[in-house]
Amino acid sequence: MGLLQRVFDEHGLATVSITQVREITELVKPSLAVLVEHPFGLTLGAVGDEATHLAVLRACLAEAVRPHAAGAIVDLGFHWEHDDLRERQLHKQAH
Amino acid sequence: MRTGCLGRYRGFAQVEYEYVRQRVYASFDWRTFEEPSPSHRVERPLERSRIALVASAGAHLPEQPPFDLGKGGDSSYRELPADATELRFAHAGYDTRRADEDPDVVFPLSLLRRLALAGEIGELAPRAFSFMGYIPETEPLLQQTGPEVARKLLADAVDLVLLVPS
Repeated sequence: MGLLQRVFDEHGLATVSITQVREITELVKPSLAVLVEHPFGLTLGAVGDEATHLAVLRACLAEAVRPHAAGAIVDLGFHWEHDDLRERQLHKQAH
Repeated sequence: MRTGCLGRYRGFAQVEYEYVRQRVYASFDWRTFEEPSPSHRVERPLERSRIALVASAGAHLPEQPPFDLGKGGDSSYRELPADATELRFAHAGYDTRRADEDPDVVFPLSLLRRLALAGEIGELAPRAFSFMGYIPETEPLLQQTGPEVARKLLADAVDLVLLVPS
């Protein structure tokens, strides 16, 4: 998402992106990203976990209207504790 | 863009770099930048802002063509109306069965509609834009489809673009 965000930034749009992997976002340096450490394919949370989905969304939007230096990555503090899916994905052992 | 050998990225950036080069796309490399892109303020409070969703989960309408899941990736995009409810997902990089079951996990259009109804945001932009995140050759995205979507977002007078990966 960071590359696309950079294009939008260059066009003068206000943007915020969610990132699941800090080290990739650090390579691309979009204007503002929020870190959510959830598995791929479950960006906002587990299937049916509406409370977490809304919490992520609200936290993300709240950061979008706060002042940040360009290139900031804000850790929203969401971590995956349901199972080892994220850990296996990060080692390419799960899809 | 950096050039060179294996072992130069941190964490998952290195894992993915090696995986894609060895199994999918031999010339893959991350596009990297020394400086951040410019930051622009949201001009209005959220409760009066028009917000656009742009996501890379491979979402599309049933009547739209799915994304190309071949090794060369797909830099095209789909426009989805803000009131879209029936979504399909095509993406090689994650298990789309979870998104089929609950689209909000990667494409939170219905959640944003709820926030708008509740007055937490002003409104949703009239259309959302959907990409498929596997794009090993980035020039078409950076030079063509990305700028096209940027111009459409400007035409839609959005106050904030929310980008959601998968």
